[in-house]
Amino acid sequence: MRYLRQVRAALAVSTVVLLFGCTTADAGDGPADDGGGGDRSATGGSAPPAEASDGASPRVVAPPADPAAALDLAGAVAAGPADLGDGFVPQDPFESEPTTWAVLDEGCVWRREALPDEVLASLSRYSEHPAPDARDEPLRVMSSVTVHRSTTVADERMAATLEEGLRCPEQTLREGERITGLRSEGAPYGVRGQLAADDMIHEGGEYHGQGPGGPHPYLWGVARLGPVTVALAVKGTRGYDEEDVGALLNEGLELMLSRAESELR
Amino acid sequence: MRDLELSDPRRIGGYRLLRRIADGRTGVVYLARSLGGAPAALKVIRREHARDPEFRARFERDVAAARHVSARCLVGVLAADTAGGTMWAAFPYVPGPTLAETVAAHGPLPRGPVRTIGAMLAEVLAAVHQAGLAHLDVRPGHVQLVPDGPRLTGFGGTGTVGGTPGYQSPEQAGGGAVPPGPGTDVFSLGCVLAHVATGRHPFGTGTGRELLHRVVHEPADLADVPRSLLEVIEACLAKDPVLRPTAADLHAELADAGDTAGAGRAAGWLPSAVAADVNQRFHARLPAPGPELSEWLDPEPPPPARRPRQTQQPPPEPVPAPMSSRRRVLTALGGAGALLLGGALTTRLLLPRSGGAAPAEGRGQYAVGLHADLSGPHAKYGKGQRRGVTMAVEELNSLGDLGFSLSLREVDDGGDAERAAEVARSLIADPAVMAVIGPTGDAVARVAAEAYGAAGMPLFVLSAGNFAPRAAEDTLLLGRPDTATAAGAIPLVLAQELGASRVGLIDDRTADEHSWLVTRAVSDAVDRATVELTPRVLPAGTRDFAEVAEEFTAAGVDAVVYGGLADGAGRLAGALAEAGYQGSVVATQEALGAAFFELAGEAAAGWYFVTPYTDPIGDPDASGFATVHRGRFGGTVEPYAVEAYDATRMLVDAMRALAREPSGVTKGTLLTRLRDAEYHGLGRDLAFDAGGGYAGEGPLGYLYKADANGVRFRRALDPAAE
Repeated sequence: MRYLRQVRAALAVSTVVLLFGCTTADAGDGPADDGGGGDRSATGGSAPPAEASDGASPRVVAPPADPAAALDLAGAVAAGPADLGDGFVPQDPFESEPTTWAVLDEGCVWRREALPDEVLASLSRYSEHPAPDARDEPLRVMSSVTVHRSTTVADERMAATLEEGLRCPEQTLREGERITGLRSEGAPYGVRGQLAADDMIHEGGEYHGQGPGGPHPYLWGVARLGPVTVALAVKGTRGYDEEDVGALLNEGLELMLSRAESELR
Repeated sequence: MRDLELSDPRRIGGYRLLRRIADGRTGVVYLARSLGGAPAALKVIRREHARDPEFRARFERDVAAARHVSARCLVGVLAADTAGGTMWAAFPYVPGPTLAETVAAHGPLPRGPVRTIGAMLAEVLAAVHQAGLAHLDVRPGHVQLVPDGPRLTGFGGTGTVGGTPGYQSPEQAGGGAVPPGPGTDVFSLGCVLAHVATGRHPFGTGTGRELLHRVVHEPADLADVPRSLLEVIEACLAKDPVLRPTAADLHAELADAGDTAGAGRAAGWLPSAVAADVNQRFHARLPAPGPELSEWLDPEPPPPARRPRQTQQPPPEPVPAPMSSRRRVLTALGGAGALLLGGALTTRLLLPRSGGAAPAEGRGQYAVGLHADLSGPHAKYGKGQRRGVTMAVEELNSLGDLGFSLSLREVDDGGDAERAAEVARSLIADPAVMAVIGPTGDAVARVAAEAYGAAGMPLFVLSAGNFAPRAAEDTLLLGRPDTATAAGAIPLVLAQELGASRVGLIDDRTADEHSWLVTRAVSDAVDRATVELTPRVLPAGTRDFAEVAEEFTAAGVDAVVYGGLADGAGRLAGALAEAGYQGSVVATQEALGAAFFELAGEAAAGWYFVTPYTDPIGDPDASGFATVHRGRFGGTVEPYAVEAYDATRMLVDAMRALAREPSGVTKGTLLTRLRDAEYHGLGRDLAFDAGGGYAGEGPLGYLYKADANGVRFRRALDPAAE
């Protein structure tokens, strides 16, 4: 709970918001903003809130109309090594296969699946900051951009993301990499000082990787602007505390949001 | 006691009316003084009754009969007018708490005092019966305690024949062949003694009709009546009046084994706390006619914030010291009763306007602020709190031993955050306000906490449950577990009440933070090894619940937990019914609103609600409050009334203690003292941790069950008691 308090304190005071968030997402590559497959999408099936009505976000004037335009947008927005700071390098592979996205399965294990119809494009990029000590894991950052067919779909995806945190407080990112104690909290626009996006979710947990000294903090944040969601996940490692990881998350998310906003104008 | 209202008469017969003591069913009772200055309780019959020829006849007969009886401890009629346009009767004023108030404040009395009270009341009734009359409305509210014993009031001048539900005899309830008579008084006395000995009502609580039914058909609940009293009380409560003892028998029986007839006069016949209240009330100074004139002219001063000059030089704290010499002179003039209208006006203009009404005596004056939603989405809760605070303030003032005068300042934020900040400023600017009860809704919680925190004003919170994140300068005193902690009661319901093994959990983002807190608390507390938990998070604005309802039904879910509001709850109930769902649903107080019942209709059945407020009618632990509340506001107790009553009593207890100390009453000393204080409330026990969080040992919440018409209290949800 300590983490969430910090998240909430940050959300409450900062106008640009985004402190850390965290989480999940990287499953061999990982999208964080996805959610289960299309089958679970419209859980409640229902009218979206006013601010989520299609294309109605004041900042969203020109949502991409087809998969190609959507993938262009994702490519222009997703953060890479140069955006994250000195010393970051691409992982191999650096980008996800654009016709797939990550899905959290029944057993709380992340895996990649083909994009459902209501998603136009999803792109994830993987960067890392090599550790000075070879025994440690590098500091790994995953950024992800998903363009949905409508704001309603994106809004439902946000709800589904929160649902995953409730369904799977423990998740397997890939073999040998687990997250435990996952907590998540959403903040719609205008609530608790959140003025950066139409909706935002922060998650946090403990990352159990292969390096020594764990578990380390694992933070993830996802923000929605109209039909587009941007996400960033940071897997902590030795030498970085929660604050470092949170700052990295915040800055990356903020950058992607501002890029998305200008792309959507 | 309350101030007179503009519409109240100022003089009746030879009496000058000073205060309102009570609003009864048939009339209003005033504190009055005779021309000679003797205090009296003067009852003015309501116009609708005064116009009723039958009522008039009974009233006249009553008064005439009462004038023929005099007995020690019987409060008879001093004067009356049963023929004029205004019907009234004056009785000697008894400066003491009623048994109802005493039991509400102190709980049951030990058997010694119960015997003494019983013996003395039996003696009075024997005298009444001897004269060929009967009282027919013996109840705790008609018995007052003074230092040398009880006084029986309500004789002559009630004009009623029916008695009071819960204390009526079977023959009054229409269940016997014998008309009500002396035996009825004996039955009612048995009920009174049982109530005083147990703190409970021998026939429970409920509607008048339910009580009537039980009085006629069910045995009284005498579970914890002390054994030495059990036999005699049981005998009084015989359904057949012929089988009951006479009042004279009863007197002999009780006086014999207990304290003797003169018992009451001996010191120490009451437990010390009760005796202290009784003594204080007995010796309290009653309002004199003079100074009140100014109040009559200005019964409702405008809120202090609107007084332009006040904000420029607010006194830092009210001074509980003797008043200024000028004021003393003016009061002395008033006390001489020589002020005419013009004089009173002068008085009003000369008195400093700060802090509302002029102080009645040379004492400090403090106010409890109530920051409530009285017109917005949570107005029901705000109004409940207003009632509770009003009752406590009136009661505390009537005790007369506070050492200061106490008033209530209320502000309405309508549930709106901007308005909350504004009205908070007005309470903060009022130098008499030492602490604030509120706010009502979570939407304004943070704003209010910041405003009052910055001003160092203690903020006693009853209904809002989410103040995270907390700040160092917060002055919160949470009178309830916070939302997340309170939601820990839901798993108790799932496990114990419902035995649920497949639980569907719905976080409805329409309710944003409330739903988030509740569903996360449930998710954390549920043991996933034994319970299959299926969470669903719904986007904000969801109105169609068909899909989730069908999914849960198909999955064989046996309990659904819903974190959302009343509108969503009503729609969900409909969707679940449509899907053929057979299980239960558990939601919180936020879902328990009119919209739920309107939208759900019959589908409301099977829903459970966990709330932070109790129901004094249904909760045996809080039943003392229901009695007092009924006397003041009627039988329907609003949510948070008892909690607000308790909070006010706790606040004022602390103020009273501080007023006797050199440091005096300031917001700072009050906050410090309250954080260390404990209070055994009629509702929840109150205590706080260092940060002002709820740390009392009260229950996590209270469980209610719904049907199409409303909810019924089931029980307190207390993990320790499980």
